[in-house]
Amino acid sequence: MFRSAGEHRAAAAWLPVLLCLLGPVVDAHAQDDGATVFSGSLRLDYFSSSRDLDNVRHVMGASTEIKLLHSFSSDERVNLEARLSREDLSRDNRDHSRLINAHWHTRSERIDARIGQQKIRWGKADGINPTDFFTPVDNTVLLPSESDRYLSVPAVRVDVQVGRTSSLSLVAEPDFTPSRLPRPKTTPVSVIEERPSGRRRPQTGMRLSQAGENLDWSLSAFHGFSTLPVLSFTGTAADGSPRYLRYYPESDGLGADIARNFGKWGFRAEFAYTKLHAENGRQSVASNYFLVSGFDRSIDDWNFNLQLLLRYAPDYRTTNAFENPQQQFAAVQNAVIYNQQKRLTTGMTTRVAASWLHETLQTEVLGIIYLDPTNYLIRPLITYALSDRRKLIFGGEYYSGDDLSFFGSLKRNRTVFVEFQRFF
Amino acid sequence: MIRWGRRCLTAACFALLPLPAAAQQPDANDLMRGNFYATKVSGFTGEITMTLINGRGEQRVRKMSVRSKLKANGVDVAILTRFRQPADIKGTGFLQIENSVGDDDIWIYLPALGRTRRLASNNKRDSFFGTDFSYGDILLPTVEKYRHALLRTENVDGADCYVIESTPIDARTRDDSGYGRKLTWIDSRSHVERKVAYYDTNNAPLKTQLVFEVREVEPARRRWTALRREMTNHQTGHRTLYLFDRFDLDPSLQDAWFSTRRLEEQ
Repeated sequence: MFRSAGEHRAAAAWLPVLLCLLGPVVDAHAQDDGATVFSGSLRLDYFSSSRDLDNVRHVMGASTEIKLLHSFSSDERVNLEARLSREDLSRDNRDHSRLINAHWHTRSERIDARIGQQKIRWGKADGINPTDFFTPVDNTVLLPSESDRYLSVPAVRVDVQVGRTSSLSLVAEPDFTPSRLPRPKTTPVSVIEERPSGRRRPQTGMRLSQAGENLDWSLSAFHGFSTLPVLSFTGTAADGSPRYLRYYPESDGLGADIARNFGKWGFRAEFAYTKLHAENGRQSVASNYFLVSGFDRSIDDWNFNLQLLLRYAPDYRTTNAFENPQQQFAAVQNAVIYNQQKRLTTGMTTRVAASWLHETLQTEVLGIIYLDPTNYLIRPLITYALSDRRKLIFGGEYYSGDDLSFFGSLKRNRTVFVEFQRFF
Repeated sequence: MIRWGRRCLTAACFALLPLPAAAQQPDANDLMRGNFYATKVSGFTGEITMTLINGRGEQRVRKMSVRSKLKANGVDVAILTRFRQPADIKGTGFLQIENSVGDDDIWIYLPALGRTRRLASNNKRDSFFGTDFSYGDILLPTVEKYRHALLRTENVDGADCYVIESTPIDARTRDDSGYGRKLTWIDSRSHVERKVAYYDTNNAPLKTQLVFEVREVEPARRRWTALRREMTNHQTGHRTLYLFDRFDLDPSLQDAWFSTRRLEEQ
């Protein structure tokens, strides 16, 4: 992904008009001849606040997504999917282009291979997935769907069927893609960012999974880097100002998950141990055990989902343990980003979803709460299908909690949003 | 295990023997068994269009590719559905492996999330992707879950039919299906239903299904398929048309095609 600055305001003002006019034209070119499937969408968005903690209000954006699936044969295909965005039509520096998928996929009787840009999602829990080691998240993107936040990565993935219902997945990621976090634009300190060289040390992982006979489970292992940054105090400059390094620590992960139905109840649990390595005396965060576990139940057109969150960091150090105020400042930032305020972090998530009018109207409310200190997110979402090709989405995000808590630190990002989608 | 064995035996009998002759005094349970097995083709691939029409005549269209295989017990089926339309759910896959002696295995693949998720077992009364068909209307419940009585014979669109009244054998089946009773018009030749009238748990008319273009697609096993169905909900005025744009018998489908690995291919 890249961002480019430019004088595009005049052109940007015409973008929504252009997108609407383009609708019938692109419909004519949307193609599905069996071998090639071409489709996409045009999206217009309004957010009452950006997600960048920059106090930018009333953001109107436009984007288009294009998807091309071409099959060379029944066993070989390419999948291309990209998004072009002008995230804020009234301001500069808000252009995005992003590859959502760009991979070649081939298969034989027992082996699937995917090479290229792809999403690698391992977790089975709802919304919070500690075993998604390979999945960076864009927490700043101004699009309403949760799926828009998960980023793809360049990777080689080979799935080998090892039993009737089990398979082994091997993944190598020869580059590193960090998560995107909201950051105030006027940072009060100078920070140097250091990204790991994936080419020098590719990230690797494997996952043994089984699906079937009323039981799904998996075991996974990962070696690579945390997608979240750690801030480390590195010293004082000649002018006396503190210098910091933002780096992505080396990480090893072990994961396991299980999904099973008990009658009409669906049970899921996902567990990961993540070991974070501190390098060369740099500040770090504590390795931790993270469990997400809960039930969901459907009753008529309603679905109820409840999960408990439990994270234990045995080597946790309170931020007050750092005597140096600069180190303490960095430790506080790290505690917020990694949501590591205590040795034991507890919380829960709940999602209540319902569909109406033969799925024309879909509603849901997602709530995530962490305890001690209490901080939470409430996210209502309403989706109304105007037709098979046009959709309206209304929603909001309400963050609450102490300023130095995970969700409390995002209070400036409280927002309501509307999106119009036109599919072709 | 005994129950499963009995089902296999029954399935084998219906696969090998001719269906009961229409002119005799047939037993209602036998007729419903014949109805249950009449559409159990060994395997097929197809393209389906489902058109949802509300009381104002506004239409929504869902297109899907379907692949289905009868399991070795001759009763349960594995079915993989992939949505082609509408665009916002294009590529979404749905895999259901029936289990008549336990809970079905059901997974959904959401391409936008890049993730396969196991779903909790559905109630048979739940709507099939927002249509007027319920899951229980698409994958018929086993005969033993209802009491059946032969009421009369009637002609529907030129086909001689037996009219069978079915009532749930217990409250659990009634609540799971959402039906207090149903009337089925069974074609005496094919044993495929030509019409079904559903009544809610208060015995009020709920839905009517009409069945058209019934074809014998697997003559060696005397198996049939209805290429067109229409379900009308009398209480909401909403109706759904279910049409096979393409139906290809394919007994050679492998079990491996019905796996989460295949579900994740768009």
